[in-house]
Amino acid sequence: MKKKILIIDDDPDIVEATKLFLEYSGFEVLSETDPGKGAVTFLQSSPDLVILDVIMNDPDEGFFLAKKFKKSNPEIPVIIYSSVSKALGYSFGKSDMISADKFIDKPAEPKVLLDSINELLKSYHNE
Amino acid sequence: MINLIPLQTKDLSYLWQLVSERNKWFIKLRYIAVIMLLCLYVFIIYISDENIHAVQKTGIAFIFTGILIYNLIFSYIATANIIKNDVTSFNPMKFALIQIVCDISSLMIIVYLTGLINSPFSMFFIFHAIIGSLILPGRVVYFIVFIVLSVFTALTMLTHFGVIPEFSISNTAPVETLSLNYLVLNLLSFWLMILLSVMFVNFLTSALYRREQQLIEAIQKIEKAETDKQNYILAVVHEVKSPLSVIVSYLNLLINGITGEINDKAMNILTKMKKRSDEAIELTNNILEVSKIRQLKNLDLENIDIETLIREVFDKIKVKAEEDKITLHFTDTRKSRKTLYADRHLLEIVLSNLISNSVKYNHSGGRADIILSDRNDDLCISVIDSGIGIPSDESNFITSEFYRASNAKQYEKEGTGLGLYVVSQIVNKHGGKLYIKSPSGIGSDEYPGTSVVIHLPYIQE
Repeated sequence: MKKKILIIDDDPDIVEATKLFLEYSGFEVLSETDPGKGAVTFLQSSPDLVILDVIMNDPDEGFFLAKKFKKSNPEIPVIIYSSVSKALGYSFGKSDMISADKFIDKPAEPKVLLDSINELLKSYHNE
Repeated sequence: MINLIPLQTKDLSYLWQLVSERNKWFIKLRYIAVIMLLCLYVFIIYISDENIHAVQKTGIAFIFTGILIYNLIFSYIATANIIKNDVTSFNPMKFALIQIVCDISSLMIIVYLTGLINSPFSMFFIFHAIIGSLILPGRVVYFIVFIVLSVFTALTMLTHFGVIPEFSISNTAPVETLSLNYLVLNLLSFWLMILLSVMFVNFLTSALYRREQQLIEAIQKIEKAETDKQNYILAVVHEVKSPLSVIVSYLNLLINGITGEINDKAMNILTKMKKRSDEAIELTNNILEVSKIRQLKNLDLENIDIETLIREVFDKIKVKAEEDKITLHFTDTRKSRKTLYADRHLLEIVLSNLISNSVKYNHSGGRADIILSDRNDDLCISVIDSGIGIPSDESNFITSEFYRASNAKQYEKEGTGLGLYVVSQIVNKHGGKLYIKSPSGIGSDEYPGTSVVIHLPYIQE
């Protein structure tokens, strides 16, 4: 069965490009450009992995969502995929940062993104 | 209750800090005064042939013991968390006032026992008036000084008229025998001297305080402007980077054939577009890093498994390394397995910069070695490559902001010249050292290679 990935990013073009690539790589992809709707989709669809942008409506919305998701569903891996996640990371407390399993700088090479996804799915599946 | 806070005070916490420091300084100074007083006592009583009255002997002994005892109490108060930085509580100002009153009272007794107007110690009142003016508000100091001068005058007059006994040292003319005119003149000039000292010091202190406040405000404004500037840069870079990210993401789809077959000519163009876009993204990343490092006040330290961190960086760079046919080697020669205590994000930036440089400025078929080793209490991270190297006359400038080596410019057209600057800044912030050498020892004549070695203390002090 295809693994289900949820992408939440307020940039529709990034969503489209990432979605096309991940579907091509054999995943089922759900996407939301609105963080609020994203949170609802997360609860309803129980994806196998979530990819989150950081700066959406609020500058730290992605971190906030990651924390929320990890609290309700710690078994679902979360990737923070953001263009300034690292730089912004400094301004956030440690506890806010730990929520995500991986930080990937946007834009990532397709292979880097794919490897990270597979690695996380594998490690969560084995556990 | 009298308000002890000077009217011009704007920043109370700064005032508390300042007065607390001065209080501690008083306590130290008072110990020295006690020792000096003891020496003087020993000198007068045992060494010189002064004719000393029994009351003087016991009186002075009593005073310096008294000073010693109350100073011990003050030391305790200063360290025992009794003083509260609060206007209504027992604050550093009130503590200072108590100290000054105790000191002046002790001095008054000493002066009385050593001949009042003839006493060499009467000059110390000026010293106390100055110290008081440095800390307390003008009106409080004037009040204290007024009391002191009145008591001093009263004692002198009472002695003169034989109401109270007179004590003197050396064979000075007793106050009783001095003419009233002389005494009044003497007392007047004493009043004038002390009041003028208080006035001058008061004037200077408040002027100085105002300047200090202005400076602090100016510095705060500069810091705020710097933060605003950096936040602005962050916002602009984010806005620039977002569309770039979209472009690169779509280009990745095209180049990887996800949208269908692409002919060679188009592919050639797409690859060039991708390369230039990547360079633009690298520039935005570097600017973000520099901006962040500038704003950084404290390192976010944690225990770091350096090996895992290097592997993570490898993962990110391996695609480019494979494309350029550059082999990455990782060797760990450390004997001890101490944990490194450092800022993970910053260290990752350092490693990414160094390892990607060793790939970027290398030739096809080249290699880059990353070696971990120990040196005293430092962790050594060496990144050694067989790349183009750095011209010997340029190695001093290589860590300067926006500097790029001349051969690097020819080899790789685009580059920001910020990479090694960022690296050196981060290494400095960690109290480490950066050594850059070319040739690296694994290169050739054509490609001498670069060796970058970082010494990082395992534990940050």
